[in-house]
Amino acid sequence: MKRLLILLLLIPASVFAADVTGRFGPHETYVAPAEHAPANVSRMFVRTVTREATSIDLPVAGESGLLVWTIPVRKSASRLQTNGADTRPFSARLTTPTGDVLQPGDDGSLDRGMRRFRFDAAEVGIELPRGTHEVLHVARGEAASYRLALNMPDDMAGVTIVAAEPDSRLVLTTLASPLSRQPGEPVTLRAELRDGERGVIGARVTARLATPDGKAGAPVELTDEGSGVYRVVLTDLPSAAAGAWQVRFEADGKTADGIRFARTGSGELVNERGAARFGTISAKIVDGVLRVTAPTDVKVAGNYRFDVIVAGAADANGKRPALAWGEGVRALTAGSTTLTLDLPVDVTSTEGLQFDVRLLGLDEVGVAARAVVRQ
Amino acid sequence: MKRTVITGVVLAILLAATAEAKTGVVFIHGKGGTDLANASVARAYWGEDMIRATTKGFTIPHLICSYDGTQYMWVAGQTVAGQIYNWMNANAIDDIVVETHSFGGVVIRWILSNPTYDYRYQPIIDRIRWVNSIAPPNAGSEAANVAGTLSGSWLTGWMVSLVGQNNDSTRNCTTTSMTYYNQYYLKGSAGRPALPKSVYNIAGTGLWNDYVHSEDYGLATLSGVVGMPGEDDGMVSQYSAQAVGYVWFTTLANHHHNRRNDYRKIGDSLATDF
Repeated sequence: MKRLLILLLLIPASVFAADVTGRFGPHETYVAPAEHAPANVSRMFVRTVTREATSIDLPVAGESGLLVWTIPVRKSASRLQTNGADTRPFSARLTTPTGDVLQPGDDGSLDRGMRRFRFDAAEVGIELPRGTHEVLHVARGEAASYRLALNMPDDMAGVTIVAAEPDSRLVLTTLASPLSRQPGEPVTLRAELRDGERGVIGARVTARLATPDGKAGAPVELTDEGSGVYRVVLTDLPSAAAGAWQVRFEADGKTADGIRFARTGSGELVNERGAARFGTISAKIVDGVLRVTAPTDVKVAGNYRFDVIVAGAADANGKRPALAWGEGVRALTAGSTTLTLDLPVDVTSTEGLQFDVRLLGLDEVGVAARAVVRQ
Repeated sequence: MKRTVITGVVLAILLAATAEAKTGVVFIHGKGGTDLANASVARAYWGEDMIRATTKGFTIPHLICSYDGTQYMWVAGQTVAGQIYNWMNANAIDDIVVETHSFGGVVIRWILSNPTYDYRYQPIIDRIRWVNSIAPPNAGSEAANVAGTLSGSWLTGWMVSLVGQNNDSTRNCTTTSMTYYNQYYLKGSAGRPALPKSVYNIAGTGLWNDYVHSEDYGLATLSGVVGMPGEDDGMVSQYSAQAVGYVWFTTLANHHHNRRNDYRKIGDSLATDF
C-alpha cells in the first residue's frame, strides 16, 4: 500500500489534470488535417564533392541571377566545434560560359556582373560546418554550364556546393505523403518539374529516404508520368523507425529547349508508431453535454492526450462549421480500454455532426490513432 | 488602432479588477546552441539595449529565459515553464507580458496550447496578459528545410560526421513539422482551437540592414537559396510569422536584427505595453 502511494506521488500531476473543453467562434470552419505538408519549391541544386575533385560543372537554366554557395568541409570533426577563423580559407574559381573568370580572392564588382562575398557559418542560423563560407553572385546567369575550380587546402575533406537561381522559371516541386503515416500505409513521393507553364518530361528524378536518426537509404527512381509529374509509391518504408523521415529529391535533365538543368528538392513525413487503434466510436447527448466514447486498443502504454473536435452538418459546399473541442490527458496501459470525453455543444441530437477523434502521444510526440466519424 | 483599443480595454479591466497587479516581462529567445542554456548567453542574445528599452530602463521586473537552443519545443517548454513559474511566484508577478523571438514564439505556443501537459502551465497561462512574438516560424521555415538538405545525412562513410547535422530545434521548425504540430499539438492556427491568450506577431521583411555586417550576407544567401515565398527576414517568411495571432506590425529588421533594438527600435515598441 505504502509502495502504491509512493508510486502515485511519482506520477506527474498532469496525468490528473481535468479535461479542457471549448467552443469555436461563430464563423469558424472545420479544417481537416492536411494529407501532406506544403510542397517544397526548389530552384537550386546541391552537390558535395571530396577533395579528389578538382572542378565541377554547374548546369544553369539561365534567365535568373545565380548564387554559388561553397561550404567547406574540414577534415577534422573537431573543427565543427571551434569558432575561430580558418587557417587557410577556401576560395573557388568560377569560369562563365563566355570565358569570364572570377579568380580565387577576386571579389569581383557590380560592373563585371560577378561578385564574391564571405560570411561566417555561425551567422546563418542553421547547423552547417563551421568556418568561412563564400557565395559567388552572378547578376544574370547564362543558360549553359559554369565551371567551378576547387583547389582545396590540405585540411579540407571536401566541399558542399549549392547553386541557386532564385528567379528561374525551372522549378522542382516536391512532397511526400501522407504527412502522418500509420504502419502499413503506402508512401507516395511526388515531384513536378516545370519550365514556366510547361511540364518538363524525360528527366531523371530520384529520391532518397533518411530515417529519423539520419541514415540515408539508396535512391529510388520516380516514374515520369509524361506531364512534368514524377511519382513513386512505396508499399512500405525501409524500416519501422518512428519519427520524421526526410526525403531528398534529385532531378537532372534537359528542358524542351535543350537546356541542361539540375534541381534538388526535399520532403518529409512522420512515421507513426501505431501505438493504438480505435474501435467503433459513438456519441450521444448525456445530461446536456455531448459524450464521445472511443473503444481503444492500446499497444504502447504511456501518457496520451485524447482529443475530439466536433463539427456541424456540411453545407452545400461541403464545409462544416467548427463547433467545439475537448482534450484530456489519459495514462493508458496496454490492452483494451474505453476513452470518453464530454464536450459543450448546443445540440439536442448528434445527427449530422462530425467527430474528429485523436489520441496523441505525450511521452513520445506522435499520432497514436485517429478517426473521423460522421453521424 | 485595433490593438490600441484592445490594450485600452484590457488595461481598464486590469486597473479596475486588480489594483495591486504586479506586471513583469518575460523574454524567450529562439533556437541556437546549447550554450543558450547559460543565462549570460541568453541575455546577450537579446542585447542589453533591447532589454533596457523594453523594460523602460530596467524598471519593470523581467526574466530572461535561458534554455538549450537545440531542443524540441516540448523540451524547451519545460525549462522555460520552470523558470517562469519560479520567477512569478518568487516575485508575486501576476500580469506577464511575454516577448519572444523566432523559435521562442513556438515554445510559448506549446505552453499555451497544452495546459494539461504540466501542472505549471495553467498557472503561467492564467497570469499571461499577452504575447508579442517577433519573427516566429509559426508555419515553419523553408530555411530549416534546407538545413536538412545540407546535412550530412545524405553523405556516406567518413564524410557524414564532418557535415553539420540537424538538431532537434531545427527539425521542429521545418515546414512539415510545423504543419504537423499545428494540426495536432498547437493551437491558434486555422481550424484549431484558439489560444487562451492573444499573440501579436511582428514579421521581419528586410534583409539588408547593414552592408558592413557579414550576417546580412549569410541571411541574404539563405533567402536566395531557399526561395522563401513572399517577404522574409532571411530565416522566417512573413506568411509564417503571421500564421498565428494578430499582426501588430512588420519590420525591415532582418532575423538577426529583429531581436535587438538596433536597426529598428523594436524594443521601444514593446515598451509601449507598459
